[in-house]
Amino acid sequence: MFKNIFAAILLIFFCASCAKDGAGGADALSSSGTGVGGSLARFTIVGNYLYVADSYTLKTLNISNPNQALQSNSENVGFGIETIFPYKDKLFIGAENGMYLYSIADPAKPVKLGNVLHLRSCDPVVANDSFAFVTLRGSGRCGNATDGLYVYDLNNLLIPKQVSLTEMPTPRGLGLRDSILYVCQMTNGLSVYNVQQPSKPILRKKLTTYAFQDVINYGDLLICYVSNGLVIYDVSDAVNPVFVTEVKNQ
Amino acid sequence: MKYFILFLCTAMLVSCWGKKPYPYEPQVKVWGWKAVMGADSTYKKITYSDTAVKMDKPGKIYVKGNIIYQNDLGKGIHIINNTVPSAAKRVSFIGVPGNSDIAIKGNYMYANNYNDIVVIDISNSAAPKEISRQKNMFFTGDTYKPMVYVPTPAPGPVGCRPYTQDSVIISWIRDSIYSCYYY
Repeated sequence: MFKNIFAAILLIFFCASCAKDGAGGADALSSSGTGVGGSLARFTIVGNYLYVADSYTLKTLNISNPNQALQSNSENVGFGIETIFPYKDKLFIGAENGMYLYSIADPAKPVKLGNVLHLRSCDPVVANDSFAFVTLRGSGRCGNATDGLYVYDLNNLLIPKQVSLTEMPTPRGLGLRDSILYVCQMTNGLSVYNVQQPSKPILRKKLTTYAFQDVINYGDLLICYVSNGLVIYDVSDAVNPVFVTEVKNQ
Repeated sequence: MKYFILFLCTAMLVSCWGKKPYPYEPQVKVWGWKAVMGADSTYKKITYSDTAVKMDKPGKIYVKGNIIYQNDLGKGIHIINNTVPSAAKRVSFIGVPGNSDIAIKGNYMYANNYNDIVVIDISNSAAPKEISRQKNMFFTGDTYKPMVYVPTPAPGPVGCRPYTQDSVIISWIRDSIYSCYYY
């Protein structure tokens, strides 16, 4: 209790100390596209807004003028926020105590739709129209949830319903390519699942060459953050990633 | 105001030693990681290397067009030319102390420089330029599990963060500490 008050006071103090310095040229946007982040990202851009998660809050910044990004909203979310995943007009937020769903129909002010609370863990999220795929890793400092891939039905966004749990050791980042889901398992490799039936993910392939942390599916490439750097696979055939290159320290 | 802040800092420190910071009870000193602090004026700014820099602690990835960006924990962002994926390689480096995350729209990169969000104009790939900054966007006052911008060299108990104004943690040394949390 005592600590919470201090936290609140400090937060106010930090907010009050916000200031702007630096100004710059007024270069016009020559290309307006947004890049793609991995499932472990804390930053994401949708339209003219940058969404940022620190440990407790989801902050919204209007970036229509990059010379002066302005915070438009700050929302207390949960406990130990780790990741943000954008999908259409939704944000999926992975925190240590659960997965939170926000609507960004009003992009300046995200509104909470629902959440799934679970045992303490680390939990990146990816999603499609109907399902959210979450890995929970309960080991170490993360908490005590069962390690595995959790799939939630999003038909009712207010109450996402768990449809399956596939236990596996040390899951971390994940990436979706149509009905194929890539699950990074750190020193336990990369698992390729067919999730056509989300209630029954089927393991199709396993790569154990690297310690996989996170992946981004970009066109026909699977760009992988591994413990010692970066590895690229070709996933034209989604279930059979073909090694392309490893970016080595020169 | 000054005394009030001083009081807050002291109170935070006392709250570290005093009551139940989960999961460790720092009543006695243990061997762990102690923060080395540096001045904001030195570390809250960006630098640029037009040649590849060796990766130290690989971090998160981001892709836009033919370029892959990969964070080097606490140090900055490696720029990887992926025009020909089979020959993808690091070509340059944007030094952003305390960095862990980025996002890009158009010619602008948004990156955290410790707890500031810095906007970097990357339209001229040979000379990225800071154009604006939002200071202290992240809350860093949590003793239980603060955002860590520069990782400890190895897991272990971590001393309570010294609350010094206008400074950031730049590295860690082994020392006898009151443990506030564990990494």
